[in-house]
Amino acid sequence: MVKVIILRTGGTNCDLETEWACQVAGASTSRIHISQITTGRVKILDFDILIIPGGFSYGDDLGAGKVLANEIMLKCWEQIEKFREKQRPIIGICNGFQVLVKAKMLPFWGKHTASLVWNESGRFEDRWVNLRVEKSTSPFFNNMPEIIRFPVAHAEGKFVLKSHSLLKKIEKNQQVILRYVNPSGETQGYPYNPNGSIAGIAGVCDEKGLVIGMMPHPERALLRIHLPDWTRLKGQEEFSYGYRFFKNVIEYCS
Amino acid sequence: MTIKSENIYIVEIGLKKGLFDAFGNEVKHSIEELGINGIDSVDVYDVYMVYGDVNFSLVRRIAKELLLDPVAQTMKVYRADKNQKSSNISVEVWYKKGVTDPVAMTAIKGIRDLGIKNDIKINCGKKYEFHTSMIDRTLIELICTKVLANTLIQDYIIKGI
Repeated sequence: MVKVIILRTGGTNCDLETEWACQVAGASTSRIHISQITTGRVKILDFDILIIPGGFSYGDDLGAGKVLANEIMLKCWEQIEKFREKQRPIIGICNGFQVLVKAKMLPFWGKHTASLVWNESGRFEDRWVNLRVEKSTSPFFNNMPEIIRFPVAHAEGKFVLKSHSLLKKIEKNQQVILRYVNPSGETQGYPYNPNGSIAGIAGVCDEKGLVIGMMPHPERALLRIHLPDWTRLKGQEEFSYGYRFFKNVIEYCS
Repeated sequence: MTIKSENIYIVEIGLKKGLFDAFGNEVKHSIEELGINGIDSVDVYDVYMVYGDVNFSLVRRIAKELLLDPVAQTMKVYRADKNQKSSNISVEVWYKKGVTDPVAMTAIKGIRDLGIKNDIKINCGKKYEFHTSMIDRTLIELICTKVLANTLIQDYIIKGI
């Protein structure tokens, strides 16, 4: 059975939902506190998939995800690098995405090239958004329709890059996995783009597509009845696109 | 223990030029809702007062490796007793003595993660820099008490008037 480690710390709050999503999709799971890694009691390499879930790690006190990102870089970087070398997926959702970006794992490994800053609205944005699934190097959004819906819930989700040329580079490398769009699939400003991210970017992957991060929450869109308009939807499918995402990740490792 | 003023450092973290300051924009709107117009824009900075067993290079390292987001932010480190030249009116908001400062506690945890074991103290605050031609201390005081500070737990310092 595929084994998933869900890394948590003080302030993480989406670990239970993420764990349940992985279990429903067929994996065995362990929710592990970062201190168990840094003290050597648990090894990341004993798992097949690493997920850093959403929340507010260390209160996001020094910037969203910053303290956890530093802790990972300073105390367990060797394990993380080996994990990546073995081509095992590393996934960051919401706060986890902020951690991956600030720990120099996304969009380019080992380099500070991007960040996630305050939403342009100046507010916490908590609602469902339309997302366009981009053609990317990541295998985790295969067999999905062009437009899907996941909820977002963040204050610091505006994706920015160090330079404009990097946007061309990640687009050329097919590292953009999701974009905020209107219901017709076009990138537009607020409210369709909830945070003002450059080019509507909602999620990115590394060059190989196995390290991915996204602001929307697939674990909150697991079942059809999670969708806000499920009573008006046609069809009787039990699961929604979040389930398909987790299933794809787990099948990749099977 | 009295800390010598030359051993107190200030770290200012602000957004890089060209990035939209959403937080500053919200502050400006809140001021306008008070009926005060004439503020062109507000720049917001996270400020950290670092003191104890520190020197300039150590504080700079803490700022660079822990407090700064190098992609989106800029930083400034200076001694607290060295006045910073600015033509703008600014307000600093700090917790009153004795009030729990949770951000400072996280910062200390982050400093320990960096492997720094020195006895370091941190106070965390905000600095608001106003771009305005309005120079009316009474109005700035009103902005401080109604928008920027919770005077039950925070003190504010007005500079530049």
